[in-house]
Amino acid sequence: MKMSFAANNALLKALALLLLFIIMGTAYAMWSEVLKVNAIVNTGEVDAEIVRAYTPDSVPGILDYNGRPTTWPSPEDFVFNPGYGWVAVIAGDIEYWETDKDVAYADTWLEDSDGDGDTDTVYVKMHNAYPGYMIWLSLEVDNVGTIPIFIDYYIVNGTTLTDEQIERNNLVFLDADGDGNPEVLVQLYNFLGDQIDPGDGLESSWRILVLQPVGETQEYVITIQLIAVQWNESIYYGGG
Amino acid sequence: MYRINKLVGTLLALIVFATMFGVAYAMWSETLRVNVIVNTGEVDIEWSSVECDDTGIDPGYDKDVASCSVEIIDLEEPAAKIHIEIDNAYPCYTVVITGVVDNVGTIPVKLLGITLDEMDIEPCTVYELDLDGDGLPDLNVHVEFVDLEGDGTQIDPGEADAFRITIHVKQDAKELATYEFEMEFAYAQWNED
Repeated sequence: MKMSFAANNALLKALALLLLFIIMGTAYAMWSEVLKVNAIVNTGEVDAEIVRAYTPDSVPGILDYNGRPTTWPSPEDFVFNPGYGWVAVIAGDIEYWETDKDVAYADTWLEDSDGDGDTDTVYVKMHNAYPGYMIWLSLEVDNVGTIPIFIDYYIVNGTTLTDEQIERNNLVFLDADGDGNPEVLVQLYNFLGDQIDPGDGLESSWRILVLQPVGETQEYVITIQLIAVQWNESIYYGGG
Repeated sequence: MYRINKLVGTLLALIVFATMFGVAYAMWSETLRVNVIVNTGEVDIEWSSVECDDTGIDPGYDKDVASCSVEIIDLEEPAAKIHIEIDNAYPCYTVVITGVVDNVGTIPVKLLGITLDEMDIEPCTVYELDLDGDGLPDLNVHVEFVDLEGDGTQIDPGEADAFRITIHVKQDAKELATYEFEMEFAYAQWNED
């Protein structure tokens, strides 16, 4: 009987162990599968480049063009921009003609100012300029990024000009010394508001005229910035 | 309760601010620049030589009676000024002053005008001058340009133009008198009207 009790006890332990294995076996048998979503966002690039800049009178030996503005700014047209001087933007045009002399010339060169591999700055330098000397600056801007862009506005010597302003007034008079007599005039070609798709470009031709009050043996610097933005943030997108 | 509301309000404001901040950063842009540099030239002329043809014996005669002196006055303006003085002159005495103007600037120039004692005069024209105001002419003056380039009164940089001034003492000139006058030649850049 004692042996029988011991056998029962062993059997009970074996059953308990078996039950434990069954429970554990069930747990191991609960197969599982994990589904994953890996999201990768590759963003594009807003990138514009000045691919070409050209002046017809780029080397000595080409006859000069002269011009004169059809209008002249009044003192109240001028706005002072610290670091740049006075700027007046008014409506008008430039009369021009070819002369029989080669006195001045204007060359251009491109520069990659931020080192990103794209030429983003064009320099135009007039040599031996004089009152009345006029050049055309031909400029081509390409969208070398992957996102459509607009040129939203220009900043000319610190003065911001939008499409609406350029449509109305496109003669920018620059008075470096603040005497009310501007020395240089830029007639801006308007390519604000035109969408440039990736791979496409816009070409324009601006006129730059040296005015009568310009001083002898002087240097005048004009900085024009073209601000390109992604198309869907542009003030011109969807009718602006 | 008030504290909870305040906390919720602050959190909401922060979310709105962060959203706006995010939008501002989201406008990608690229700036292109056009830098225009204008270097101007210079209008500058100077006398390279001026001389009078009376260097001894009076021109056209066989005696050294009268004399002529010429002085160049350099002005800051693009102008050339000369001062001519004739001493011990007599009726029919005639001298020719020849001068050369050099364009030492970088811009072609042209003659804007000539003045004689502030009176505008034309080249190739004989002027009778009554310098003592007695109503009778004392001198004749004639200016002509000796063109070195072949196009009149325009001078390109590095080139020169020459002129002749002829002065003739008239019969009505007074004895022991001094007649003085000034001529001014004003030049400007060639493309001026």
